[in-house]
Amino acid sequence: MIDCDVHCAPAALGALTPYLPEYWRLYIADAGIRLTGLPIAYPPGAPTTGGPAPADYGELRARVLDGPDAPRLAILNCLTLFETHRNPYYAAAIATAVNDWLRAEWLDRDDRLRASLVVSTLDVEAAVAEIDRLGPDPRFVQVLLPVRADAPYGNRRYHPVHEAAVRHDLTVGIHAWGRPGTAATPTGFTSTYLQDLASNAQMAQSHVLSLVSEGAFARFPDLRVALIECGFTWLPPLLWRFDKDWKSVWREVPWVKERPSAYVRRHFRATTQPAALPADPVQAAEVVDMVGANWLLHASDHPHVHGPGAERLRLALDEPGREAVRAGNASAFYRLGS
Amino acid sequence: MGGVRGVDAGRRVVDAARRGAAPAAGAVRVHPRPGLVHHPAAGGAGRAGEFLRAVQHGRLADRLLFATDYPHWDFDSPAQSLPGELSKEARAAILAGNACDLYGLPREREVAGP
Repeated sequence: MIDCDVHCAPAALGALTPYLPEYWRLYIADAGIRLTGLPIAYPPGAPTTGGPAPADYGELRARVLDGPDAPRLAILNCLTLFETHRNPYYAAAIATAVNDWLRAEWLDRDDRLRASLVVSTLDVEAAVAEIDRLGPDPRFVQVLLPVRADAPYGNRRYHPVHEAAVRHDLTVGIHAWGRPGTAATPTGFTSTYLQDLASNAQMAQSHVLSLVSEGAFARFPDLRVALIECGFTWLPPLLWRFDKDWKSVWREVPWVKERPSAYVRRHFRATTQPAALPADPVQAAEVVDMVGANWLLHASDHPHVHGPGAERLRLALDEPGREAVRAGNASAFYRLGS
Repeated sequence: MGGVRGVDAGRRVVDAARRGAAPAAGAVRVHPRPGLVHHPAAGGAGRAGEFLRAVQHGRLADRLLFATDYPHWDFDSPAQSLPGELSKEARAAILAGNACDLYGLPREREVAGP
């Protein structure tokens, strides 16, 4: 089994200071910046939160890597950068520190670990430099971007990020949540956590529309995009509409040479948690059949809790589908080897 | 007072959720009736049967409202746009009955001809 979404996070900024230049250590101290644990995404009292993410390797090992269901490989996603404010230089410094922390304190300690490298979305040049710095390390398999963005990721401002990912054969991963100062929906700011939680799936769909429509895959035919913690059962109706509308206005986007659904099927995958599936097992199997087992990457999303969806998905898959979702799809998509 | 009632209502929702009910889905069933503008199988990637599945999963046969969306390019013909796999009752409801219920419109036999 390959687990495509396991969280880890420093418990405090002090864990990152060995990886920060003196200027930023003073900046953090003088400004009184503290890590919050990203309560906008994972409120401590919400049943979906499931406790803090592992803060060190020992904790991860005890909770995820030592059990009977231990994964053969696990991809670490650290969302600490989603907490940073809008100073692009600070965000880039924290990104570098998180990546060096991941490498020294996690990847170096266990051959089963892979990680997403994090980049500042506020400074594309710095993001590209960070991808070029760490891309040669095969343990980094993905460039992690927050689903809450200043512009949808097909926008040409992000093309250098996609180009750098492709240059190092890295997947681009779009993960639920993001900077609190960015709207949680495609239409504006929200008032409740419920809206924010449910809107991750809507924002993921906006990025899918953008990446296809704005020609990211025409420009970068080898670009691969994983949608993480954003659900997947929305896929069929999105593709019905996307293909239908493309048939009417395709002349606007002549670089979209195939049906949009063909690009989405080829270039995207989605992780399995959360799985918003019907309770009725027949209906759940029908939904999974429409999505396609080859589109899904197994993820525990440790430590977060998403209810009965994972078990419904397991029951809805046939045996070859189950095996593909558990490991085969991820192995091929992330180039992880067998 | 309204605020207090709001808190009480919130507690009832939380209690219902803890009992395993699905209050949000229930509210959507009771209140709005989403209008059908385009049916998804029309020219899209949907395979045969997917529209029917969507109608069944969402229990939408008594919720969808037919609309031609005239004069836009893909306006739908009432004779052709709903897939044949829909039951006669669901077709009649989507084409007219649901709109009659929602808007209080007269049934066909109650309308005087020109």
